[in-house]
Amino acid sequence: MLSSQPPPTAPATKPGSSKKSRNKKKKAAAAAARNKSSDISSPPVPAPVPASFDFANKSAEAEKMRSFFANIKRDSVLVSANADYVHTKPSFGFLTNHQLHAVLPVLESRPALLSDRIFSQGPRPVDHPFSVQITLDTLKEKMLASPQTMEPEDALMSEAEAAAEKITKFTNCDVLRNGKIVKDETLWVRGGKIVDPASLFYETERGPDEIVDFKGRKTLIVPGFIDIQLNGYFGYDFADTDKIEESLDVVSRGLLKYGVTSFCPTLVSSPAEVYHDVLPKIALRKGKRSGHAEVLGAHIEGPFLAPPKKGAHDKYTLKSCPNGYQDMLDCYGPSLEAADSAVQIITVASEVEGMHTCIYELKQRNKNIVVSLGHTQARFKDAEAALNCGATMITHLFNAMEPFHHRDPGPVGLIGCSLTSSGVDKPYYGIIADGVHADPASVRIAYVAHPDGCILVTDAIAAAGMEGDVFSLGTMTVRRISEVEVVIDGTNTLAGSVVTMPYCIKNLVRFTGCTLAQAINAATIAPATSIGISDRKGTLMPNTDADFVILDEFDEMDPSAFSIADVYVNGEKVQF
Amino acid sequence: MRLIIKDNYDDVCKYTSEYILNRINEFNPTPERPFVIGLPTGSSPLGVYKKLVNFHREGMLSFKNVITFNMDEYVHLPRDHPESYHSFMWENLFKHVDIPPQNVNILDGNAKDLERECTEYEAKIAAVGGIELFLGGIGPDGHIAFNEPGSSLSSRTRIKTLAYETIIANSRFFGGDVNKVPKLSLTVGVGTVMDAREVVILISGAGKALALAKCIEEGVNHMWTVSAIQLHPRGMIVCDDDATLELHVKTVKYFKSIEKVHRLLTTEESKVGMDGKVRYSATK
Repeated sequence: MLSSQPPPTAPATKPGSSKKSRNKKKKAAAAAARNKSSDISSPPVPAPVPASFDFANKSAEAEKMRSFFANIKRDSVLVSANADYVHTKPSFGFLTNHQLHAVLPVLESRPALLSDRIFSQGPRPVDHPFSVQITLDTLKEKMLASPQTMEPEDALMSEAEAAAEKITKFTNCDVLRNGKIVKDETLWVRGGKIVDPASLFYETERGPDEIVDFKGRKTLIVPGFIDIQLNGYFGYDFADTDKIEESLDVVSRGLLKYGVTSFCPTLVSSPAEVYHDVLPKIALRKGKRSGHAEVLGAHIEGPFLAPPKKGAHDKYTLKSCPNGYQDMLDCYGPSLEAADSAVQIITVASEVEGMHTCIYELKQRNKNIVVSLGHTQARFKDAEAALNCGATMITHLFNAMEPFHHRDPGPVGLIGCSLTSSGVDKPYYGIIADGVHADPASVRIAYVAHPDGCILVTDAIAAAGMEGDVFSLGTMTVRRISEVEVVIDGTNTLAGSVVTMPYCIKNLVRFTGCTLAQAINAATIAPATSIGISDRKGTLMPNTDADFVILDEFDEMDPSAFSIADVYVNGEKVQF
Repeated sequence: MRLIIKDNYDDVCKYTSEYILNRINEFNPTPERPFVIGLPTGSSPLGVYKKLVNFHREGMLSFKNVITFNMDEYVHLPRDHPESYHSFMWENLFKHVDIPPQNVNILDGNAKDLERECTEYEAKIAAVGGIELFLGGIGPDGHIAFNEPGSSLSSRTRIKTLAYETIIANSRFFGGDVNKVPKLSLTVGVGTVMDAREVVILISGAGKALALAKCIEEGVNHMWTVSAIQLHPRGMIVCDDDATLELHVKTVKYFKSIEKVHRLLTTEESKVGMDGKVRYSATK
């Protein structure tokens, strides 16, 4: 939600004239000028409402803001901060009054915007669960009833509210911070974030409001696990697009007991209509929600894959991209290019026609989307070329790709080379550590070659967490043939897994001999860094999200043993 | 002045920390009458802080009614820099004990008006009734806090330029780069330290031997500012064997014998308390 620094204690500049608000005023003025000059028939645009803030009365302002937001919440119109046009930005939750004021002049001059552009990204506006139609009058009414502005536009909470947040101190425990265990350490949480206690001590002169003391029990606090590849769980399949909201809701709650506090919902290869339908829905749900794991962007696995390596994907959905990036855009829809895109990772086969230019152009347009190589027949040279184009990850290493051959190591060889020919780093690689997808010896070789790049994924399917034998995965039927093995019905082809993340972590320790901390890193800091969110997840550094898991019940004889005692998401303890 | 000679650094820390523990507990601080202590930074007091934290963990020592004043702080070093004295005190003491943040006073090297910061610091000390016990270390050149040789023995809290020797010595904490070490600091004056009702100085290691000799065997001299302790009514130096290497044999033997007598007096049915006052009831 908030990755920016908390607001400074004293405003350094004139009230209301932060750089962002000055820029917005410029933009609104520019928009006004454009409107004036280009369309003589439209009425003149009124000047933007000036910002003002009653510094003397901060707590009263905070109270008014709080009640305004309490009313507007999720089932209201959601508009962007850009004064040029209005579009839905539901992943933001709701916007600050400052932004509303910036946009009001535009809305007033072009009332048609409100009814047609406002749902430009949504499928069927009237039925949409997360927004209702709102008339311009209602909007103005709401705004006039509320205070004029808010301080920095990113701050959804005023300073008074931040100061009132409860501070919790966890003490007499070990903490896995930034990838290393710090013994006999404390962890401080406030307002859903990890805080630096020295800053609290010296600047706010506040001590903890609540102390959780683990004295006497050997306890380790680790960041919440991050699963960047799972297709479903608890009987729900993300490819079942009609039930996507329900799936995300159930899965994001159910995963918490396994210590997974954020995940990328994965979509198997599907026809273009499915992506056009489901990606905006995922965009709406993306983000935090109390009592749920955070939904990160989607991991789109396909459909630009190599047919001979399709695994459990439906062959009729696979395609190539001879027109390069345009084909990808046509397939996934405008969500691909949206500002706060629903897409986080795309798995492609690099040898597919047109894929190299496609990867290159995709990375140019959106640096945040991670390109991962998988379901591919590429030889080593081709895979290396894909890395040079901008791919940074390998999807479930060893599976659905050419095997390692000493004269042509295939994609597996990418984890061995220190630098590719153009100086690109070794890629991250996903490992399904269920002992079935890859033999433990193979996992060990990969881990030893590139320990920092190892990312534990479950690649779980709807069957996970359920009793029974037969399930669906996209358009295919799968059958469970043992406790951890699931195959396409009637074949020997593996179809995802039914394991949990703690099981994978324990297996990584057993397979490779690494320490428990290193195995947990493969489920926390490695995936966070690979998708560029390590500034807010996976490290337990100050100002990162307070998503963490409390582990105990270790065993000196068995380094892989642990048990999950409690899970916290956004600083709140989760009940499960 | 008392000179306590112990065998090694660990014994020095054990003695000093137990002394402070007993002093605070006998004082029995309350919110109306808090125990005000002055604290140093550096490698000498680390062992003392570790042991004080252990006492706290075992429930023997509480810092709820203890007010602290630190000796010094670098100027224009960010407060959360790992080498700032705020960070040092947090990591080594405040993090582990129950001291309320309002009770902690450290000079702010990033204040807008540094001189005012110094005078206000002196005022704060006076406002809480003066310092009960000032703990300190010593530099190889005999300086206390950042009062380098040549500092007035009646000085108060002020801005001080660091000696080049000190900057070089400190560069090991700044990646070996002399240019990164702050050149100015705020420090309590010699007069400020000597105004405390008791002064305890830690001196350990052969590198401090010459400084110890100059400070207690020769005259009060501004070139060796710790020598001002000779004029203090209740001064105490705790040192290890190595630090006595430059002292006369007579000095060492004298102080060892007088401490032996003191120990005999302060046993179980003690007639003499920690503060040297004779007690008539045998209660501890």
